[in-house]
Amino acid sequence: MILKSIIRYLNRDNVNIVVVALAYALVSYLNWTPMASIFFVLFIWFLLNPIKTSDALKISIITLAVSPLLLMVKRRTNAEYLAQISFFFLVIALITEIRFRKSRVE
Amino acid sequence: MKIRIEYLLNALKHNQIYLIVLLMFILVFLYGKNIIIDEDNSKPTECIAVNDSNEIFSIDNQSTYFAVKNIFNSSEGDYYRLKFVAEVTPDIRRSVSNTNEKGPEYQYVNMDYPYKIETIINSQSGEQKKIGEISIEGMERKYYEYIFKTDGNYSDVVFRKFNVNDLEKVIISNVGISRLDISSDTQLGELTSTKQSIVMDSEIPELPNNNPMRHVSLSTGNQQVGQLFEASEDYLGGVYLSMNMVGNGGVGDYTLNLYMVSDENNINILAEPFRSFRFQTSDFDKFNLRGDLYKIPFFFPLEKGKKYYLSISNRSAVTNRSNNLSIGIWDSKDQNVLYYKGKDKNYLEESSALFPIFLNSQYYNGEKLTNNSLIEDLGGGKGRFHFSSLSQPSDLLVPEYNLYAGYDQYIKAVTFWGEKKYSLDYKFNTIYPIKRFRLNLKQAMGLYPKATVKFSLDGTTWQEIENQKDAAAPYLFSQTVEMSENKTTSEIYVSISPKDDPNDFANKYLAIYDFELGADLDMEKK
Repeated sequence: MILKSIIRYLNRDNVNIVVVALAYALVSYLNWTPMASIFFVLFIWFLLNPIKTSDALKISIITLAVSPLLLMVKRRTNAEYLAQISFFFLVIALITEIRFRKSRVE
Repeated sequence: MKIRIEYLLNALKHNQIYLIVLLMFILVFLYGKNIIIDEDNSKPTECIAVNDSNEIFSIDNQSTYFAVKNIFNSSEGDYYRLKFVAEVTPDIRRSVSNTNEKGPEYQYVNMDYPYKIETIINSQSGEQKKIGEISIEGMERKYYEYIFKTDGNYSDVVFRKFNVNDLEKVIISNVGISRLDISSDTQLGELTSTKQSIVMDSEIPELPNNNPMRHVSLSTGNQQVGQLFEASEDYLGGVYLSMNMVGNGGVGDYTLNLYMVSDENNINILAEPFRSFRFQTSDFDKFNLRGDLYKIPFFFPLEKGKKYYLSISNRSAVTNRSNNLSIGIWDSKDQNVLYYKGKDKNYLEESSALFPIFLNSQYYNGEKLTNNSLIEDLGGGKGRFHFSSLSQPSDLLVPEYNLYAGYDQYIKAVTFWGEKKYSLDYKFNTIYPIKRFRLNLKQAMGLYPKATVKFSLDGTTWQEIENQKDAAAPYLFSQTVEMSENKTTSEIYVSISPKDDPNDFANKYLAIYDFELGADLDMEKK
């Protein structure tokens, strides 16, 4: 009875939230740095809830464009972070695009 | 049953992404430990001194800088304290140029201007930032430190000559860097000053005249020139003397010998010396100060007020009339006595040839600090005590006074002849209460008997440190101790003695090296 109600409650959205929470618990246990933890949790989130490839690419290009501006005003650390974010969204865009094409073929 | 499996497979097919996520979780769990970035540097709470370098660096007239690579890893807004010991050895050419009509004249006082070096921090990508500039005045070893704030990711420290035309040689050692737990400049004023007890030299003695009165050659076999002196401080740190190489200077080892003297009028200089230090003519460049003046390091703890006899001898060297060492001798005003042995007879006269260098212990509020140790305030109520042996003869000055301790130049270890009732004892005073500490030391391998290493927090109850059962380092002793809340102490005693072995009565000789002790301190309690 209880099992049934749990299964009914576990629709796809809720399962995704649980999985993301698990991802966060895992990196906390492994004592990763804040930046690496955020990237990992976001990665899992975008894997489960894909965003549009074009949106991911837009974010990637904008952050990449801002990065040299920051370098000009000698904010090196922040520029590095932005470059990492840019690369991260590039990877997300690539993965979603591959998945999209694969599902279209099927 | 079959339907159920089909249903399961179908469900999996439509939820492949969860399988991929599961696979990622497993991989991260198994291998994710390697992705921890900057772990060593994230918090300055660990008591292990990872960021200290025992290497000795020098800048001479051939080079203008040197870099200590990967000594730290900073982020924006971090505060660091850079610590080092520096000394300047004047260039020989400069002193030779100081000639007048009477011949070359040596300047035994300081240089005519302070020698400047600047320190720069470097990042992996080649960014540079100057953090400070120091003026080294005088020729003694001195401790320097300063605090700086970083604006990005840096990893190397570079020491550079300020004036590239300076010919002097700078020797920099004990380079260390520690991250402070502060976030603004206002907190800098709250830090207490660093208490260091790096072994320093006494000043160069004032010589009666600028040039020695005459020279004595160590040309025939087993000859020595020596000096009788009374110990005025706790330690002997070396000797100043004027010497000249005749021909090639002889072949083999010259020795500096130390004898304990009970009867001033009857010194048996043929007996085995109490302690000796061997050196060769090829080492002379290392010891040269300027002109004919040399400083030879020779460390030994002394008993204040006792008389000693220090001599230089050619007992283990092969010399003759055209290849030998001649020692400068001065007229003495203050009744120093010089003995030297000719082929068959001893001479006794009032003059001086060897000038012993004395070192003293450092004190803080009346408490004696452990030699070569450092107590620093890291901010936020945290502090650190750090001691590590330097693999140099001055390591012998760290243990408590012990007649059976020595330093082995060849294996670079503190040695100890320990009969059953004797032990090599160390006492570390951290001034502030200890929160946790870690101790590491290694025993030289080979024919030595196994050591028993014990530590105590009060000097009465002792706890033995187990020998690590590690095949790679069979003679490593290591222990980390967490202090409980209600127990406060600021002293650690370490005692090393040969393990009682019923089958081995003769060999009680131990050699200890890589001794390191780091402690986290509570700076608020005192």
